[in-house]
Amino acid sequence: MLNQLLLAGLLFQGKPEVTGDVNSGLFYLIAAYAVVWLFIFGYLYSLNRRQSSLRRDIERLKQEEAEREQIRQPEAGSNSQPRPR
Amino acid sequence: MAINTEFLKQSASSNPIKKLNWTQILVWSLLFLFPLSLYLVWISPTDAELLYSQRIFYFHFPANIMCFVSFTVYFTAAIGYWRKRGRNWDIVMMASLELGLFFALIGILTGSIWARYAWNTWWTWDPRLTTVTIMMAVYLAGVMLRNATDEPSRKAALTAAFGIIGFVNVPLVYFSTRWFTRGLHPVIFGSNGNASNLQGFMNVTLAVSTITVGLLFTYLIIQRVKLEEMRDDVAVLQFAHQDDE
Repeated sequence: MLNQLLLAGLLFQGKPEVTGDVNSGLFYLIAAYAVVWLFIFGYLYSLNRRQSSLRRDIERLKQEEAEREQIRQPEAGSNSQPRPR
Repeated sequence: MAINTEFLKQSASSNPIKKLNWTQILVWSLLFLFPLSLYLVWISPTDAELLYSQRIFYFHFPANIMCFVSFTVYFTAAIGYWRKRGRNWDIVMMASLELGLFFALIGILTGSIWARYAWNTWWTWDPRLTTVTIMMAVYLAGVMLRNATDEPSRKAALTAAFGIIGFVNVPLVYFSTRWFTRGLHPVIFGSNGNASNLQGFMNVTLAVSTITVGLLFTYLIIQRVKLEEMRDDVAVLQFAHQDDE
């Protein structure tokens, strides 16, 4: 299958016999594909940036929660000690 | 007869299908399929009339199909939300709405570039282009209304309402080339459709690029849902934080 595809590429005879990239539509083809890729990469970048920011927020909030828990534990420990008579 | 439940539990926990990382499989498939589809686009036979510009079709068509798929998912999730009122449906609505607009924009821009070559104009008020513009305007209005509200359940209800009402546009866009025959945009499917004019290898290229864009859609919707779930996690943690204070 792969060999057939490579061979098809080598034997590619489909080039239009028109002078100029604009007349043959090559310029428009490149422009359209550039738009597609720009949008895909732009959206992937935006998704990744939003996810990273949220991941950082989750980490920070969890860390703060753990710190508060640590502060709360010694307080609870000291409160539970019996009072001297 | 006694059933060995331990054995059943063991098989359920070590199910190899469940152990697969589907996101990673998707990423690797896309890394293979995108260069392959570009290569196929390059080696495909050239159209006698539209020359190189015809190859825009191999991404213009799948982008529009994924736009329809996204809005259909949005419509289904909107119905799901009205029935169950669950946050999960709201997340799917948000993700599919955003992706529908994303693919619609790709479809419009690639179509506009192609139209400049084929019809000698960037834009014309052809029935297909007009109905697509109306569809995008309706869904964009839905996004804007959602963002204008603060209350989460009201946001979800508004999004669901737009998902159901706005879906009227989807069949209208699809059938516009059949119902309004004076337009420039050709019919794609059916016995007299342009897709039936594709020759041999062109169909292979179209199939591969449609699968590729379909997998991209699947990857993006998974990531978009994940993003919304992370937002919920942050909201829950912030709420707990405020509660402690």
